[in-house]
Amino acid sequence: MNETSPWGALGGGACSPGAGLGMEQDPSSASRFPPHQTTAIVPIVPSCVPPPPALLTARSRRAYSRDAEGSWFRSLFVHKVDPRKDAHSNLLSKKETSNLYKIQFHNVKPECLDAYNSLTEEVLPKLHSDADYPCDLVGNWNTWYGEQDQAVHLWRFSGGYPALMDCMNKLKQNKEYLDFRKERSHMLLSRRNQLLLEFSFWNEPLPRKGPNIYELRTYKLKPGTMIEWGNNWARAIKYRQENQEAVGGFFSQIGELYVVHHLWAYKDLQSREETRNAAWRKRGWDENVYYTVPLIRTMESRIMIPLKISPLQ
Amino acid sequence: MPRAAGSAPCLCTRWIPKETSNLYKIQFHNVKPECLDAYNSLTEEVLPKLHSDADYPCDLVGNWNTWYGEQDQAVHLWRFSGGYPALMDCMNKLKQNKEYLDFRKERSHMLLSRRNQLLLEFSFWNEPLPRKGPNIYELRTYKLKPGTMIEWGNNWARAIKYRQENQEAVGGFFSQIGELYVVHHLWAYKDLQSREETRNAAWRKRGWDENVYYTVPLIRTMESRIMIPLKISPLQ
Repeated sequence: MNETSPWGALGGGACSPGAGLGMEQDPSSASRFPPHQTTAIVPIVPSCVPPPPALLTARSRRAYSRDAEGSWFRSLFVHKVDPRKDAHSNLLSKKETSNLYKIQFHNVKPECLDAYNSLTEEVLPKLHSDADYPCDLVGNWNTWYGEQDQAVHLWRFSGGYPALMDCMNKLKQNKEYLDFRKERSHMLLSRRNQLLLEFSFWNEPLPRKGPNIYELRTYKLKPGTMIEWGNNWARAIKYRQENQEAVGGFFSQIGELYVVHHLWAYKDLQSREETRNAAWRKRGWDENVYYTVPLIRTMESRIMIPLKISPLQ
Repeated sequence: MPRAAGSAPCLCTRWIPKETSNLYKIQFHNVKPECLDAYNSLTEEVLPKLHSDADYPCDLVGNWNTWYGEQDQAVHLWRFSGGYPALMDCMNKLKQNKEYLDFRKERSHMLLSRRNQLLLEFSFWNEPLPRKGPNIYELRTYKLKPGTMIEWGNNWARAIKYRQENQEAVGGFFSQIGELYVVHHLWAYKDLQSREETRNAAWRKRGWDENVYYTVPLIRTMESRIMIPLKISPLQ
């Protein structure tokens, strides 16, 4: 850490060519990936919660030394990016399948929500069951807590991108579907979607009997931190299998990037509280939180109720 | 030497191609979902006239609807070969053009919101020239941390050669007016599978991983839209 002025990077410090990362060097040099010099953001030191006592493992002693305590602070502001050699899709997703997921967020005009749901319940299952369309419904919900009057739909394309294109081309010719879209368009304020891959270490989202409430936790990560996220959660997912609450974990490929979705199912909100608390009693869970929280730019949580047609009930 | 905080990036002399003074305008129109078809029809009727009319010093580069990402959104990219003077000239003439004013009025009922940015192209990218289709387009938008544009340019000037596998590189731009420290990279692919394969091929080239490693920390947020060209788009 060279800078002494707070927020130096936002002033002149990082603006000269190559100065920001000190990286103008011959790539063939021995240290091809030297650690990033920080762009020298020294935070105004917040009152700090020290790392949890359980972290007195050899690993955490390394992390919690006087020197590295500063680096934990720094990690909140300047994130470390590990060098990687391949695309996220090859490093993080399941190798044995080519499942592609599409998530849709529909902001429905509040006065149209019931009509929207009825229309959806009429049309979508036909696509799911029609063998001609290589797509499967995974789940359909209305948000209950979070952004309201929002419908969330999750689709699986087992055949990957070719299946997606195939579906799109066929739907363009499907009059009933085009009419549905037209009718639906009057009920919507806005909509967005993302194409997702599933993390290899999460369960595949399979139909479940209800009644359950679902929680979609959406994390927008700092660019470059996806591998770190995956590394931590690959270890931590086992602490969240208490009540079969883990439904699916996904990362975005198209749409907003560096977005992760974790989908959980609970009997009710009280059960959710108890299940989540149980994780803290398991040694190792606190480390996961400790190492993953600095990777996050923003996070949000929706509680969702399945529609009648949702395979995830 | 560090530049003074708040000074304009000295990119104008560094990254824009010396031989042109091309200015680009990108428009993002959030269309009311029920009006998308009407919006497209109206657009297809009016915009090509501006493009072909020699009196108006502007050219259509591309027009799209988003398919994945923010939906019910139209994206339009214009080129002003004469730079800022051409932009002002165009604006002044359009204010007098009744047909255009009627178009804007009719269009305004179909929109939820709109925003635009004026862009310059990076010198080391190809100039976006018309292409035959059918292609899908990906617009990757990077919002950089202030102060990092030079670093970004340095890396991509080296790295762009790793992304010429399938003529996928259409154009690369940085914002001058509108939201700042925004970079747009525009790519064309035959379809999504081809996109996956083309992008994976870059990882097999030595040097690409370095580009990712050095540029990712410069980014605040990034998004990707997959877009389908409208009938009138020169980029098909």
